[in-house]
Amino acid sequence: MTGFTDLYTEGNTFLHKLDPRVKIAAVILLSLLAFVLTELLYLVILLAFIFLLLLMARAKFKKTAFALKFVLRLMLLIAVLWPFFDRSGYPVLISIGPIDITEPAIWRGVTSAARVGCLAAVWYILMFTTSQRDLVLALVKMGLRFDYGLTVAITLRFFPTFVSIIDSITDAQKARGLEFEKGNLVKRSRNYVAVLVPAIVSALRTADALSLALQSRAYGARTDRTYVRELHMKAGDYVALAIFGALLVLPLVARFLFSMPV
Amino acid sequence: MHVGWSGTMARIRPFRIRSLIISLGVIVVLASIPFSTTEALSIARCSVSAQGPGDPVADAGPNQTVVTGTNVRFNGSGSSDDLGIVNYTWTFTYDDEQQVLYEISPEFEFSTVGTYVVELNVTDTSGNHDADYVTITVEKNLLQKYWMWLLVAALVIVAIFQLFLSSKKKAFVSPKSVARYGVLTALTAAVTMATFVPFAPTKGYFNLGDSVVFFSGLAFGMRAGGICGGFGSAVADILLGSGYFAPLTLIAKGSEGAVSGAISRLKAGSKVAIILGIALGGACMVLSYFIGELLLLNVGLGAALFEAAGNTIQVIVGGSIGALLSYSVKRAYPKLADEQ
Repeated sequence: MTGFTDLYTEGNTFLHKLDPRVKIAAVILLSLLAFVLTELLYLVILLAFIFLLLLMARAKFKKTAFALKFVLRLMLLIAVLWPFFDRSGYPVLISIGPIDITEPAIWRGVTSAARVGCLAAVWYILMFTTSQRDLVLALVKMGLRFDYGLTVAITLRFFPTFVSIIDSITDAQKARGLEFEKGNLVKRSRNYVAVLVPAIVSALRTADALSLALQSRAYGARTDRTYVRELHMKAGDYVALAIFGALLVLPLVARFLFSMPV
Repeated sequence: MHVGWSGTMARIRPFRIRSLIISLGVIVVLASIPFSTTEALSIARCSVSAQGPGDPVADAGPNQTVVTGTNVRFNGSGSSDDLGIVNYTWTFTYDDEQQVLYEISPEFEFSTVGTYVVELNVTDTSGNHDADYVTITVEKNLLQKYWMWLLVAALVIVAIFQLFLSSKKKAFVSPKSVARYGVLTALTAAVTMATFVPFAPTKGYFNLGDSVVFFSGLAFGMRAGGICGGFGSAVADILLGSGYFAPLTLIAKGSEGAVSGAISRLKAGSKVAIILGIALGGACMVLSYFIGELLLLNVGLGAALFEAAGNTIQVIVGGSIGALLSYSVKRAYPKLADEQ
């Protein structure tokens, strides 16, 4: 199994150039839009729109497939289990004992699955096209305190390191004869303690060294610190923000002012 | 950066299937409770009809209970007559207006909460007719029922974050804490990803990430537990491509770490306090996910229950390992015990 510790792909498309704050806003606005839409058709159109954006951002197929894998499992689960718990509507298609499978319930399950698909795919617009450095900077500029921003930055920096540390500790313990494939859930999880203890000790040592490095660079000397890189909203960023805003407002207007089904 | 693991699938298969069977069992038991009660009620219902030969018999179908905004399809196909029914008329009052629908099974969208008694009138070729009634109960959907609570919860969360994360008055958190929070958060995310088992289908994985969250809470207290749990698990969600879960995870796992950290350190970390802390922290996590999935993501009761069963197993395993870790790490790294 292959995993990615960073979904970001280098590129030079308009989504890569967009201000990260606009992309964060787009994720929020499009997520709200997915909640506003109730008709399956419109949700499918939204999903198609999101994937069009991803296509324009030259998203790597392999990464998209990796990210979508978990979402597809959830969507399938919703669509399959929904009709068993929702017995309202006609016609009844199958009736097994106390369980009635009705046609509207199946459609409601599919609609909810499509909505979850939209909610998941929206994040790829941000994650595939924004570097971690820009992401943290955008969060700090949007009001997150710098020290917590730094915590997030440290997290993202050390995440791949710890994934490989855990990997090599696992290999080392396997070489000493520890088995991860045998036994029940409890025994197998207990065996992981032999991996987690060295991993945590190594993490705590790293933290000690890191804290010395932070002190030696005068971290926290001034709370009103300045930044080498600043974010500037350009005309294109405002246009994009307006478009994403309009995408949310239009269906709301259609529903509440003209009572159109959306 | 690519990270490869080998043998992951082989490692997890047997207990994944067992957990799946347990979860499905829980779902079936829970699902059968409401159905058997409604069945018993419908048996108790009886109908009396006085009809001559050749008269049609109307059947408006069973009563329906739906949530607002649902298209209700009436079903008159149970009606019978020896010659043939020529007219089906459905009459009811909706929004103070008389609604009349024709056809054997027309559809109508109910957007207003209430109980509607719908009359079905059938007429056969010789002009005889018969009537039957069906009751449609329209209830608020879950979001409409609980939106006030969700709003209050959202405001409380925003207020806590304001106090917790963006107060400008205080100086920065000490470099030692920043380094420790950052590193433990990264470790939480890494353990979540590395001990990753595709089990709990809504989130997409079963993992030992909770054990590091509980360890952070037990070893360093409420704030470390909250930050490592919330940030670390949310980062893992985002990096694994389940970003839509991140806000929910931030609250669920953040409260898990914070609550277990706060309670387990009472009475100088006695065994009872540790067990209570892990149980209450775990309950916060399972409940937050369940409520969030049901009301916000609207995944349906089936998927939400399935997920809650998976999360409970995760808390039990993660909690016991977390408690074990807090002892073992102190032995392996005595500096930690000195600091406490």
